[in-house]
Amino acid sequence: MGYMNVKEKWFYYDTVMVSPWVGTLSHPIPGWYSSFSNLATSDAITFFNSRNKAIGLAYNNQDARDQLPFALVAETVSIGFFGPSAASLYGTPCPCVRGVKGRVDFLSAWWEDEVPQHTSAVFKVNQDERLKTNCAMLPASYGPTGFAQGQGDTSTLHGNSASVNAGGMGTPHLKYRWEFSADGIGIPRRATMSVEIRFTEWVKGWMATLWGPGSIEFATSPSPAYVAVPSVFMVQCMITGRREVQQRGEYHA
Amino acid sequence: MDYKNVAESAALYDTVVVCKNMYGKESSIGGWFTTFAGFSANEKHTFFKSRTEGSSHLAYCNMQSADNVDFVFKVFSFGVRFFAPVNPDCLNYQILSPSQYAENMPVWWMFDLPKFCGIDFRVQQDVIIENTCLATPSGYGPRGGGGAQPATDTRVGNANQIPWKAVTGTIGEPSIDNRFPLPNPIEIPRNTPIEANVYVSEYGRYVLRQLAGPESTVMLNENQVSTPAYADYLSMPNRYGIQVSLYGYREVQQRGQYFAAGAIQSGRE
Repeated sequence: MGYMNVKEKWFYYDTVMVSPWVGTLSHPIPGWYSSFSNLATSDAITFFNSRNKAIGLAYNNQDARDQLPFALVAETVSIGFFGPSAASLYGTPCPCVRGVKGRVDFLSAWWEDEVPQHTSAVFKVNQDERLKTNCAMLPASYGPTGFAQGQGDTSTLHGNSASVNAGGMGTPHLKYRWEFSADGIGIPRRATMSVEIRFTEWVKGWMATLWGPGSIEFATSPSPAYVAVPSVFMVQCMITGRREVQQRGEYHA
Repeated sequence: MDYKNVAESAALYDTVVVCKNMYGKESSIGGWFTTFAGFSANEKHTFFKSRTEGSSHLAYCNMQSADNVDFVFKVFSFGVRFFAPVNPDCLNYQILSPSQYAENMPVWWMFDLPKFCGIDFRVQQDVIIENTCLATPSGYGPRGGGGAQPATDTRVGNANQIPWKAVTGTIGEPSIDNRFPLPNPIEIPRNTPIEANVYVSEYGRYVLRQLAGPESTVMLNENQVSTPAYADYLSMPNRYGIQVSLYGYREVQQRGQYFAAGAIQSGRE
């Protein structure tokens, strides 16, 4: 009997992180950055050819760094920009003393809503370019959706009416993603696949000048006391489709 | 006569709760936590493996068996939801406005933590789903709301300057078709073990183990609302959690009938 494959719905994703926390890792993760200014020095940011799930299932579910371990029919693609939803960012280290503190609140919205409009994307299967477009046209269509009401703590001490950013590009519903042709794109097993994004000089100029990402302030024990932790900005590329695998519970190899 | 099954729409769900107070039998539920630091000690949080409707509560779990599916189940979709209180944690049991609120806790748990968590779903030893919790929307949960500014009467103490702030939301549009789809349904035989695991990344645990709480929502009592002054306050523990759900059709015997093999039935042909 020949082998028998079945198609399973599968999401395939890879993530680039920008955070001062990256600089604290004893084993650096390829293509991750500790600051916006470091990110600005990169010409192109690539996905699906340098990391695998060893970096954490939250960020990546590739078994192999640069090859598909199964045949995949790619149906949709997205490039999602995610900033911290707890959006009030302080300098590092946080000046956790009583008194008026400075902070920046808009960087999450800038990252999620403005940067994608000034970034290009190229999707390749092996050396074939299958899609070249603007990142704003490839919204994630997943992620936070919500709302904060009320002005919060206006004391200028701890709390500081912290900002909330729960939005992003597009509608966070999986049916609103960029679709390839009706049949999808058939990608053979062990083929290479990559997505490459490039920022405009305008974005890179901003990032080269920016400090941070900054820190988010939380209450810590024993309370009331406060701690600042580095925030995380991410770009996550996701391909959804159907993978071909052996029928479950069977062995037809 | 053979047995006859009918398909009924059904959900299976299980929940991990983080709350400083556990009530009654909740204190003995496996995999629930009273502090964020306790939650952060585990890299992996497992669902459909240890809790039942009886051991927890139907609001949180509807498994009859802790680790087996009690019926043939065709799963069409899968989702995970991070829920948090609408009101921030208050660090004191009095409202010493301003500055005693931890406003970032609900926001970070509900909107940011899913960015740092992966999830898988297994039927027996087969891995059916591996995904980021960001892109595994539950398709239900709170959505937007209105806006308001707190009372601005500054004549009496601090009570009228309470920094109220409500945060509502979820991951993805809370519409029932916005879930991880399984267009070719996963057919799970009866008495089959299943499990889902949420993996909290190193960064996620790094943040969580530094956090105080969860703490409580603190608000004025009725007398204070009428006549603001320092006095007793109401304090209710805030409840955070993660809920994993499967939607599909279960196969059960036709209601009101009994067609099991060997059954004695009157009026059978």
